[in-house]
Amino acid sequence: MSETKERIRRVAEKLFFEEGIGNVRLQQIADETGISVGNLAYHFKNKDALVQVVYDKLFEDFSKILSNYLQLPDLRDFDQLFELLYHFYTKHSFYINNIWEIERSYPDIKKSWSGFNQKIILQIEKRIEYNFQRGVLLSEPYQGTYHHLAESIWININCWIPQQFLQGKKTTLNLYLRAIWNLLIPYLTPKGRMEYETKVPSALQS
Amino acid sequence: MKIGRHFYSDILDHLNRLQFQETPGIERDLLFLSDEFWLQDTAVVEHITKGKGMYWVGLIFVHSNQPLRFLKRVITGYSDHRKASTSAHYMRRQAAKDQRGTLVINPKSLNFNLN
Amino acid sequence: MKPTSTHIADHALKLFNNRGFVNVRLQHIADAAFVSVGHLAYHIKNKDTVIDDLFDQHRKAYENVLQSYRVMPLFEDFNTMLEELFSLQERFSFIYTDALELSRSYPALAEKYRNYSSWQRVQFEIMLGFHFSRGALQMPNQLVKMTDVAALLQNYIETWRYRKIILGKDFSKSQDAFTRDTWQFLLPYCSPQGLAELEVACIFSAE
Repeated sequence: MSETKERIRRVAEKLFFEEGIGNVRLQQIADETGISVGNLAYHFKNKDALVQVVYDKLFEDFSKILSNYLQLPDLRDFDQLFELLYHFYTKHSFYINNIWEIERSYPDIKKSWSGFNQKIILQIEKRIEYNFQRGVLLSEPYQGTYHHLAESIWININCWIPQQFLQGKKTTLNLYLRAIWNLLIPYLTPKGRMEYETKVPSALQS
Repeated sequence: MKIGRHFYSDILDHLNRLQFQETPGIERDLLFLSDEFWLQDTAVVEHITKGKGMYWVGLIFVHSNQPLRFLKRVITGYSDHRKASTSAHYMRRQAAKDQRGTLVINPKSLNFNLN
Repeated sequence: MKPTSTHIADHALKLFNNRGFVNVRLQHIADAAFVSVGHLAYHIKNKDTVIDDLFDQHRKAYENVLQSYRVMPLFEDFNTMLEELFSLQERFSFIYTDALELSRSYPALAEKYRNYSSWQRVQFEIMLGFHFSRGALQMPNQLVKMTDVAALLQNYIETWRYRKIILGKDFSKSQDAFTRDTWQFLLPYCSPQGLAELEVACIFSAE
């Protein structure tokens, strides 16, 4: 992507975060990038094209995270995933702000994103299964527990940062990791607790 | 390329399984190499037996210096005698260190107790 | 400043819930309430006051629910409380879905929200503490503290409406799904006694 286009994309991301997609005017984006509206129109036909390119970058970054499945053969893999997602959501903070707007007005983006969501939730569920097979997680108390747990973990990953902001609390990587791990910790076996306490970086830090 | 949910789920299952398959083995399992090393210096003779309607191909391994150290194994069976003997022939040649049979075993070096 | 008349506030609430507060103009509220904008301006200075009023209404109702169920003897009561909280979420849905935008746009409201959140957290800690002390809840291991569980519970309840959006499931209107999901979250913390209570009250069973 050309340098100007990239600059425009970054400004668009920032404004989408600060004001919400619905409220941002092309004039604003042009002004803040330091170009004319005409120049902006040359690069991006309309606002929808801008929204698309912003979300394309989101999808691209997310695909990289998806490709990291089970890089580490134990509980540390969760830590790595959570950390990657923390940085992802910090970088693309506009995402959670605009989640309802996308739902309302951009069905194609919504559809693509929902495909990604399905994959990551499956990944979390399979990681849980894998660790259960290794004997570090308890077996499912009820059928469907782990599917539900994977979904809850995913919701928390998405919503923790904005919730902290709303509650006037700090958002740091360590607090984040603790919060997400707290969902998994009740399901650790004694062997799992050992592994968590001795191997997992976030546990060692706090 | 669009991947359906079930397919993706299967891929992840497979990746999980791989973790269990390709783990390093235990040293104990490799001891057979050192234990059975003497087989390298054996003379091999084929041995065909009949039983239960089949011709069984067996090999007898005898150590060239210590003839009392030997090993007898039945490898496979065939319903036809010719098949069995061909198989035994090639199997012996493959197993034997000395494939062309040029080594000579000196019977005097073997101390048989004939009592 | 006199509080917004209920009639106008109710219409405003419906509009905020359906369209998102950002997209609602005073004209829309006036139309929905069958009054002129001038008449509306007499009652409410601007959109902010309506939002503020609605937020207060919601907060008071929430406080009532949490306080009346603070010392409930059984899980059954906890469940009823969850049902009432769900109704509140349904009624004032825009407060949950537009929380971020509201906080950014109205600093005073953001402050109110923070206070309300802290208070909420304390209530949940007290409630969970009560159930722990009566033996219906237990700690699965020493790695998690009760304050963590309260924090998770609060987050769980507050972000439940996001499940529809993020997971793409349309059950945000289902009270049963809400209570069942919340209990599923609490399951690892339920003692055998607690689990038995859930079964007997038909709140949650193993299937």
